[in-house]
Amino acid sequence: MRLARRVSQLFFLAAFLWLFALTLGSVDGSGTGELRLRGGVPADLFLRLDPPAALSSILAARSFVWPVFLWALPVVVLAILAGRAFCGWVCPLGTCIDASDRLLSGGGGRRLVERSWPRVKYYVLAGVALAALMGSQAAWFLDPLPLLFRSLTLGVFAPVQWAAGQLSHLPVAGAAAESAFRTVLPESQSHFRSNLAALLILTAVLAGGVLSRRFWCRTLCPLGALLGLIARLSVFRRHVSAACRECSLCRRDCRMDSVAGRGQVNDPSECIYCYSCVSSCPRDAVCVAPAATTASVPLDLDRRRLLAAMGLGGIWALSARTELAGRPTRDAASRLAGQRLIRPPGSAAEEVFRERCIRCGACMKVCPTNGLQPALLEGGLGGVWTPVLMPRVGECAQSCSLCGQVCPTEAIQPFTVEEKEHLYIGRAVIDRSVCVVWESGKDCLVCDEVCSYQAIYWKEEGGVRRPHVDEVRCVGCGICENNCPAGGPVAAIRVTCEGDRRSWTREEQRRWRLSNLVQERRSRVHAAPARSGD
Amino acid sequence: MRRRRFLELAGVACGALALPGCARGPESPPPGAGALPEAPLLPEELRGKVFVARGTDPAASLEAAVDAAGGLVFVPKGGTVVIKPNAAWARTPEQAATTDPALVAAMVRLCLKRGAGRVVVFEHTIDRPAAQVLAMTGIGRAASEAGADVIAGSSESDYIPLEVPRGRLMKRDTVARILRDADVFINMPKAKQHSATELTLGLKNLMGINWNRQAWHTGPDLHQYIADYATAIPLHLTVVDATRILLTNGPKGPGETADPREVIVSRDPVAADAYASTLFGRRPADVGYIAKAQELGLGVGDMAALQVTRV
Repeated sequence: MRLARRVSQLFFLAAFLWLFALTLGSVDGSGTGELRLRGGVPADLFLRLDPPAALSSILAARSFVWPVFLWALPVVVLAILAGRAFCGWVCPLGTCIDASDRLLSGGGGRRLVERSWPRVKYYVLAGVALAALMGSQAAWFLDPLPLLFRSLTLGVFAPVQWAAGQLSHLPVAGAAAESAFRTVLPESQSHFRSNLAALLILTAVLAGGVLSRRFWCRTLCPLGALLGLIARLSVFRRHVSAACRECSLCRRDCRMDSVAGRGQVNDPSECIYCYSCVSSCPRDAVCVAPAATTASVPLDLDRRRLLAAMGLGGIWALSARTELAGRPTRDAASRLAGQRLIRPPGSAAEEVFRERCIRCGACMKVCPTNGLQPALLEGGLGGVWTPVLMPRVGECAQSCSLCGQVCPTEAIQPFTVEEKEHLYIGRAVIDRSVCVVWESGKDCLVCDEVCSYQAIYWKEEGGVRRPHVDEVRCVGCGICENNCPAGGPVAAIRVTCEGDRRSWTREEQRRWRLSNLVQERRSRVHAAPARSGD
Repeated sequence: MRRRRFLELAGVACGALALPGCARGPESPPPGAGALPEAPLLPEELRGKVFVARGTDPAASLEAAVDAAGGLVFVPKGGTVVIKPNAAWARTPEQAATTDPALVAAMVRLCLKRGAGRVVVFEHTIDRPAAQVLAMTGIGRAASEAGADVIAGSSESDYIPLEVPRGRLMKRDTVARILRDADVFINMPKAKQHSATELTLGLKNLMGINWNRQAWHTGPDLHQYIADYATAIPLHLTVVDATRILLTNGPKGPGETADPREVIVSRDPVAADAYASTLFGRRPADVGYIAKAQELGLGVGDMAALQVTRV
């Protein structure tokens, strides 16, 4: 069984990495040029399976989304059957931790964990739960699946790509390497903000192995805590037969320290069904069977600490909800506080969006222009690592709908390419003091050239064609800002969230566009050509 | 594995990562030496000669016009040909914002038939991702089915510095690395209305074998930059796609189109543009870069001096 567990772990880790690699657009071969997820698989599968992420996202955003809820159920069902088997058999972060533990502990497990430390994860969970109840989603920070996906996206993906790019310059193996990498890497090098921060958090999680095996899983993981709670009802349990001579070898080999006493007692909230105890028992006295009668270990939470954790969760929630950046925009009268908080198309209204988003980074991984970047503090502390569009890095490409396809919690709801002409994520404004046409009368109009929605029109004034923004056609994709030749890092035409209409329904946005569209605004129709076709 | 062994291996691996980069050689050419062979001046007998074929089949038109122009005599046996179509935008061929894929494929076939060893279709797309642009324009598939390698220069490392000694304002820019390996360069623009430069034709289409085309707009004179840049590019043939032209909302469209059904072939890049401008009811003088290119001696931009041969 131990072998089966290892095979399962490797399988799910490989599946996770494979789905991570496939979180990438590929062009449909039929000639339409449609961008689809490579392989056509649900690349966000693991992220969807995560109950604390799904539940806190639903609770905090105060909006029930059936698919998000349903996807989280299988893991709950598994926990009712076999407690934290998910942690031992499936969780890709758990597998990474097992691997790093091996390296760090040098074989013999250390046990520098106080008896009280494993309870901390319940306090974390309580804090997260209370924050969610009070309307702020805090699961994202420590939840293992978003944490791993995000760390890989921000901290690992781009370096791997860079290294692959270096290899492709090899004179001999270069071409082969390049074509091998091309199937799983985008066509140009990605760059991400806060990449090292994301990587350091993952490193810290793995470095817990210095203290004990599965340190993170035992003491901090909120997913582990939730499954641990459900595990108290679990059907399959560890059972020790009368053959046991209390040698305690099983206790020594238990990576979760869930075996207590002389090997007879097992804490179902900690056991991850790794089967180490089964294999280490010299008398084959240990087995896992349904409804075995092993005595349950009390949870023994410290009420004061529990209250303190919930207090922290509450303070977090109150602060996040009242933070300027989280101000509701539902009435469309109040504006987003951050002028540059441009969200992907299909995003829910800001106050819903930031609570649904679990910061997994899948949208940033899949964005073909690299324009979706993790927010730092521009959305407040409650908006850290949510996706923002940075048009100077990359625009929201007109014919792409990938971020809506990979979002596991529908913070970005699925949308079509056709809908994008009325999904208003912002609006471009021209800074005339920087624009080379307005300021120095040069021939430019690159913004007009590149605009996918014909939202720039020009008026000839004093012999110069000066650009203006059509606020009905402009949806804020930012391709103008991306290509604007002026101003270095700061373009002369910039997308602001002035035109953000995410608080409206899609139908409202569509109608608004149609009713406000001025057909003949553009002053550019040429004289008929001298000769036309027959 | 022992720690020391691990560290040794890690060190070797890091070193190995650096090596391939070094193998590429220096990024900049030594002073005085251009990265590309110096662009030769256009011989007198080729100046001002434009060959225009009209018809519903672009491939047949192209072949007729190229034959009339004297054939692909400049393509050496086994040589490398680089073709630069206009495939900048994620638009369909019907929208006339990009070069007709059938025309690009026909050009690839002509070059291969003539004995070219390798034909590369290169574009620095503006819309992204480039793979999508190449698919939507139809050029990716058409060109590779015709036997060409399709390269989208999406990274700065796909470009090398370029000296522009004969430029008036522009002295330095960049050019696609692939041109360094090319024996022949063929420009295949789409004839379109253009917001900033009135029309986009052949000379303007060279914006797109460099890396930072946006920067030209911040320079003192966009039209002069366009003309200057062409002086440094060894260009063998211009084929203007005027099978369907974009009249409004150019260069990206969609907008109104017309169907002159013409393919314009010339060894003289200025003459090709000058003739193409008339399809829009314009005079060459309306397009700033045509006159400036003529001043630099790149070709003939004067309608009166053009010798248009219809085939």
